[in-house]
Amino acid sequence: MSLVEVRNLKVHFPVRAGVLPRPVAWVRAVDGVSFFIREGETVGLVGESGCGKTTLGRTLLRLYEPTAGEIFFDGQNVFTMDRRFCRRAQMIFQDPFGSLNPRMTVGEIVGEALRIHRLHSGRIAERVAELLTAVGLSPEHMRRYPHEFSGGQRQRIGIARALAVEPKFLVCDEPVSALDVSVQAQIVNLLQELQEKLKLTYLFIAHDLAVVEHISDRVLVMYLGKIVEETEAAELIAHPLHPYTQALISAVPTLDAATQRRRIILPGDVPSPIHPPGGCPFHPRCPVAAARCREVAPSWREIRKNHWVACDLA
Amino acid sequence: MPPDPNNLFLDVRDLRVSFFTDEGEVRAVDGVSFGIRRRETLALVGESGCGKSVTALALAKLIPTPPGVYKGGQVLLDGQDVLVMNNEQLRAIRGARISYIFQEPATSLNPVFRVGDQIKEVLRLHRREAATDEEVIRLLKLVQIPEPAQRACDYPHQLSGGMQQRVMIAMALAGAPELLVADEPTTALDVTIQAQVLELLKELQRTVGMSILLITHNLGILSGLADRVAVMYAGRIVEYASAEELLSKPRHPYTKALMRSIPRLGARAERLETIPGNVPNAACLPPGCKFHPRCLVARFDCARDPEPPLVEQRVRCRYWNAP
Repeated sequence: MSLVEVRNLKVHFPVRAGVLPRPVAWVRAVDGVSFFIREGETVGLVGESGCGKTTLGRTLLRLYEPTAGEIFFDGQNVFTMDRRFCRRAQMIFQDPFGSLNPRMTVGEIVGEALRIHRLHSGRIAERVAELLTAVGLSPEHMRRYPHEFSGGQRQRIGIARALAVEPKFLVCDEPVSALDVSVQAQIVNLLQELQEKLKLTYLFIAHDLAVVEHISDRVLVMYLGKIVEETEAAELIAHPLHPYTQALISAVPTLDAATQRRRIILPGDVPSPIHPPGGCPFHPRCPVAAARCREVAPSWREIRKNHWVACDLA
Repeated sequence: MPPDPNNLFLDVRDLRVSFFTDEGEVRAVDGVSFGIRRRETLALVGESGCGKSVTALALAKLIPTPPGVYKGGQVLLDGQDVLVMNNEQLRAIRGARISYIFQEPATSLNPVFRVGDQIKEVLRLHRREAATDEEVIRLLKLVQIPEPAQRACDYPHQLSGGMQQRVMIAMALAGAPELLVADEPTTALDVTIQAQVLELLKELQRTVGMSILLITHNLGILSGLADRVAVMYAGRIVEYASAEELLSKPRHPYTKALMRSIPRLGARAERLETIPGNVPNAACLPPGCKFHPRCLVARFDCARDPEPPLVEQRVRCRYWNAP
């Protein structure tokens, strides 16, 4: 049973110009994406900056209006659901410094959603203390301000805030990429423990494949607004089929000097999603692109069992 | 093995830097010694707050005083102590012999000037005769920016993060430095762009022939780039070895723990190993070995006895060899 189902989702942003701003072009941030997330599952979403992964995550929570497509949550179309949807799907943000209001105490930050949704009224402080304990902080931290905490502790506060309204589904948008490696491990472990205890479902967005492989059951690889590969985490690392995935894997820093993989250095940056290249969107940077890749968009094929890829050469 | 002291171009001896705060004296750097040879890359590794950035800034006497205080030690650049130089002497070093690139290229570049003009400013200060458009374009080409003439006219916000970091590197190279200090140069970048920038640094070192001090919290980016590594914890170096030796046979329990906390591709475990607790508050450090409260192999004398010296000039731990 899938908890989240996305069908042909498109999110385009207008580029405005002129005295009476009219759209002169469109940024195709998410351009025709379909996938599902089962209940209790962690799905990883990887890709470089600018590939649309954050836009996709935010649209799932109705923070952006999609241009086209549908999103179902527990069988219901989320665009017909009322405010109660916000209680069931929450977000953890990347920047633990920018996502906490510096003028609010930790107790106010974590308790705000409880007051808005009129939950636990009369015993909000108790509930906040419970949440802080669950994420490895202590109830005394309630009266302190965000600047008094380290990056890892702030990320724990962000997690407590997201959990306050007892959601079933969490979008984790690069929750560890701003943290030291040693602290990353603590936060990743915390997310896994909370998932087991509270039966949560995650969409885990990151650009670091090593972390994504560790935490995810299945992984989606995104490039220029489209999903280019989808399969189970271990299968993706063992048999990456798309040349983009292969390059992403080779870019992961490794400790083993002796067995250091041959790095595939991708030339250039992700192209602008205003004028995406024709044919396969990856062809200008692809080390194995053939002539036809410039002309024909690749089809979405299942090459091995449960292993889908958008590359005609795979 | 420590390098032959006669061969060092930068020799840091027993550097001590403190900050005076409301909580009292914070010993950010507490007796750090290391050396860098010409054309060599030394990596300084540690978690946030271990003093690695303060060490890096002290090399060109860049710590603001107050609140900082240079409590002791020497930074010898070709035998001359940087810490006793006057402002005029320091200006001749900063950006010319030692230059820096930082973690966030977006905040290090001035948003209201074209990147070409920002590079030219460095040239005017340090190599007046070379302050030309041609030299700016040559530098942008050196850091492999495509269409350098057009990009020189761009403002920083028009460039991606990877391109901004390349511009920062071009600015740092404009003064033809002997030492490039790269403070977390790739932490804010995507892994693919990180691989590009690391590859670029490696190549520049070969072609330009400078030394690099690479500061990072990620042991994973060292292999293939660093020659030697110093691991810092709570203001001290706790392990010092060649990169090869450190990555294959780490000795200090802290280094081992850091390495275990990195997730590895294809080696999926139930849980990642973590280092228990947090980096201690530098204003009230534990007695004895500073790492003992978080150490898995600590014994009672680790807390009781004064911190051990670097055993065999390599590891600051009495029990590194214990089973």
